[in-house]
Amino acid sequence: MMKTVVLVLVVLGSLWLAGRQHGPLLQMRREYRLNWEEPLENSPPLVGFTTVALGGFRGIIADVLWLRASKLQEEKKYFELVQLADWITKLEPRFALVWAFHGWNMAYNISVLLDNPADRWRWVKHGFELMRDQGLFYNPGDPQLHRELGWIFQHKMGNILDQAHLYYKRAWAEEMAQLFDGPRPDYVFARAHPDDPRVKRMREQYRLDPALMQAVDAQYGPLDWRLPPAHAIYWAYRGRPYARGFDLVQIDRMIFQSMQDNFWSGRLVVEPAENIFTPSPNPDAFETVNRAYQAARAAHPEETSIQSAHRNFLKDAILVLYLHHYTRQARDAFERMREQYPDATSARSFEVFVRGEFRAQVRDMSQREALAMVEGLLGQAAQWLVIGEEDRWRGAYLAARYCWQEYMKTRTDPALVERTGLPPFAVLWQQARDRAAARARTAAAKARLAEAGEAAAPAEE
Amino acid sequence: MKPVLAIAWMAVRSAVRSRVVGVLLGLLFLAIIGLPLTVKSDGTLAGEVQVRLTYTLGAVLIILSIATWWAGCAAVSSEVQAKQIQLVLTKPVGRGAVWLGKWLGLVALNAALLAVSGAAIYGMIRWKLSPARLTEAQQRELREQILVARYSVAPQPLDVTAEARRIFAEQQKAGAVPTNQPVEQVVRAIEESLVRSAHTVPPGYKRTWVFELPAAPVGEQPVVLRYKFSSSEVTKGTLVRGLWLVGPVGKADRFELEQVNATDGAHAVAIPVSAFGGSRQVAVEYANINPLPIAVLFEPQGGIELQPYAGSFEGNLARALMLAWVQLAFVGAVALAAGTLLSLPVAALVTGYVLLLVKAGDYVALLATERGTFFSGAAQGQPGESALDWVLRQVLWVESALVQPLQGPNVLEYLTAGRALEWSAVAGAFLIKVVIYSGLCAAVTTFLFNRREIALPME
Repeated sequence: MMKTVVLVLVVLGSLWLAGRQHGPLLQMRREYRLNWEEPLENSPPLVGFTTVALGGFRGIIADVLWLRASKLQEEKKYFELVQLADWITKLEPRFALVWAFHGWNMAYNISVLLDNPADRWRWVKHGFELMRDQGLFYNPGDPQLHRELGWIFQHKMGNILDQAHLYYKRAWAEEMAQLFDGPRPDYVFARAHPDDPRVKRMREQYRLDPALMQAVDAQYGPLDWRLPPAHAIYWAYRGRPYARGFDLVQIDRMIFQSMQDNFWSGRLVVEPAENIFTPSPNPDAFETVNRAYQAARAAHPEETSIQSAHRNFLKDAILVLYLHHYTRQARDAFERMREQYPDATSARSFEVFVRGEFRAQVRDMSQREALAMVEGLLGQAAQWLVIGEEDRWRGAYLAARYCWQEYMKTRTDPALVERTGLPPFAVLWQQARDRAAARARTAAAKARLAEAGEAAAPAEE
Repeated sequence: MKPVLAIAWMAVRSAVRSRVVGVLLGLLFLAIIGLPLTVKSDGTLAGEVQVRLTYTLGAVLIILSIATWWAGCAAVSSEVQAKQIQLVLTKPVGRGAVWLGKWLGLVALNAALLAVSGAAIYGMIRWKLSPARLTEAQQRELREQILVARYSVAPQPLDVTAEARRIFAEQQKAGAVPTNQPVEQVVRAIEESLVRSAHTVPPGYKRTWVFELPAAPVGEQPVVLRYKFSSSEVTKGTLVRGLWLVGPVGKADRFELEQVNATDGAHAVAIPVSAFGGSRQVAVEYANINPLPIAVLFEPQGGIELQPYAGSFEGNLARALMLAWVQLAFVGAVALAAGTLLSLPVAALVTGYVLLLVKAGDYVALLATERGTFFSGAAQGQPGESALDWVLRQVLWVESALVQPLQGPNVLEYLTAGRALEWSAVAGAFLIKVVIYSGLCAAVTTFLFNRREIALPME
């Protein structure tokens, strides 16, 4: 009897000692980077049970569920797919690619098969929520999962390839507007009031850490957090410490590409009364984008694609800066481009380069380029109005009008207009004058801006 | 008949006494009430109802199938092993009556459990539909989309045989037909190409399909037009603008509906009953009015169908439960037959094999028709098939011929898609699975059971 008691005590003591080693072992695993993934702690009991109790059989079950999901998807029956994706991923919770695949499948493959933008948006959300809320919980240290999540923000929502991209942007901006006012949270308030319902929701539901957002904003901003590029940068930034080798190159690439997106369409123009919602160019972001490119070039000198991307960015940005009346920055950028990439242009002077780019771009503009150009020219026109330069404001105005018409005349299909069209010209002109009026100091300048709107004569020319 | 009913009653009573029924009821209620609390839908109301129906009814069928499988196998074999069967067989009761009684007991138990489960599932749906939870519009949406029974009517088939023969003759004359290909294969390829062309709508063109409905649509329930198409635009999800025109054949005044649909998606539009003008013969026309030149390709099989109202969801659920019951009766017959002739573990394996074979009936049929699948690797229609391949194919052909009649509509898929499970399907399934196949099981088992020595000295 005594022997049995001693043995039981030895067993219990050994178990206790083994348990005590768990924490230090996990810590050492982190410290020595025995693998890139963070150790999984506090997983739900059901996941713990399925991953341990089912053993090798869980692979077979996952395969059967996967086959069913594929069959249902082929048959266009989507109602079960969220549940099946949930089960498949829970059976292989530490296999980050499985989370990435199912999230991507829902956000990309299924969403586009639906007609209604609201239905599409639901599936895009299913996709990134699966990765963000669960995939990253089980794989907090997986850089690829961070990148895939960021990619949905950068490409699916941020780009203009999906017919419903504006719906996604608007829906996301509306969700963000419930968390903070204006383009970004009040970081000081968020830190001082972590239990504030909006701050809590931001942290718990959207997994947005205000301190991290502030760090991202300080390094890459200012960003408009109502727009997708800011979130693509955020998730890439969160995944960066875990990335090595080519993963790091890809994460860095996501950061500077999203920053570039922030330059092209990082200023949100909202006119609820007119139902206007347009992400438009943000010339103020030029310096930070350029810095990010320089940093990426220095970090990955062997990646020639980064150099090409930087060169192309400078080339495109010069015209945008010029058209938005950021003439000094545009000249600086031109000089930098000539210095760093002598083969980028054969133009002998800044003026020659700008004229050539303008002519070339009007012929073949993308939506964001067209908007950048029209907005920039209208901004210039408003500035000339402020200082009373009659000929110049009319010239810039007519150039903007010409660009708008050239771009829109090839878009006759309503679906194409919805996806890649520009806001009405009159609205853009009104906004340019409003911005100029806000900066104008004299009553005379404000009056000139108001009169130009009322007369609207040049618009008819 | 009295001894049969007495044995059936004893089987039911022993199941109730052994707490099998209690445990099963517990499991069934856990599935019906517990599952909907845990499963996730796609976020739509229709999706939620579909997921609940699929998982609750699916779980009920799985639980009852496994229970029937096991109970059927154990019903006689365990009594033989425990030497209790002698108590019955020494009485003036035929062995066939024993088998039939046990089977009827199983069947009756399944009927009762299915009825209870069906009522619980229906109660859950009614609860979901209650005015406190859903608005009138949402209830109507569910009643029109999911909680309904609709016929699926395909367009009248195109007869392209003569045209294909004519094209073949022309090509043969011009020397354009490869000489090493069988004639029928070439003609079939031409026919397929003609059918595909007939389902393609180039930019600016129209195509018309004629439907013969089972009856002229009446009442308030609209007729649903379901369709899916691909397009000449390779990008998935490209939106295409089209115009649907629906009306009685030969009438100029037609119902029009413009739609913008995603390529490769599944689409449905509701056509009001008034559009059909009391006619059974309906012309459905699609005009490709997309501003950009994109051709639209409807799948020849299942690419377009009309779904007129066939009846209520309640009736469909009842027929689904009957079909499930018929299937369980068949499972019970196979399991009981195996359990009567073999020991419990062997019987369970044999029954599992038979059920797997039935489930994979289409795949078995495919294997039976393809030459050189196993050893020789010769393509279909080519010489060089080995003798072993030939023998295996004949075995598969027999297996396929035996299991093909057992294939039927997938109850869950039909019910959740709002497709009508017709009375003819129920009657057909009953005739095949209960009368013929279960009857065959009974006859063969009785014959062999009568010849089996039960009380051998070594047993």
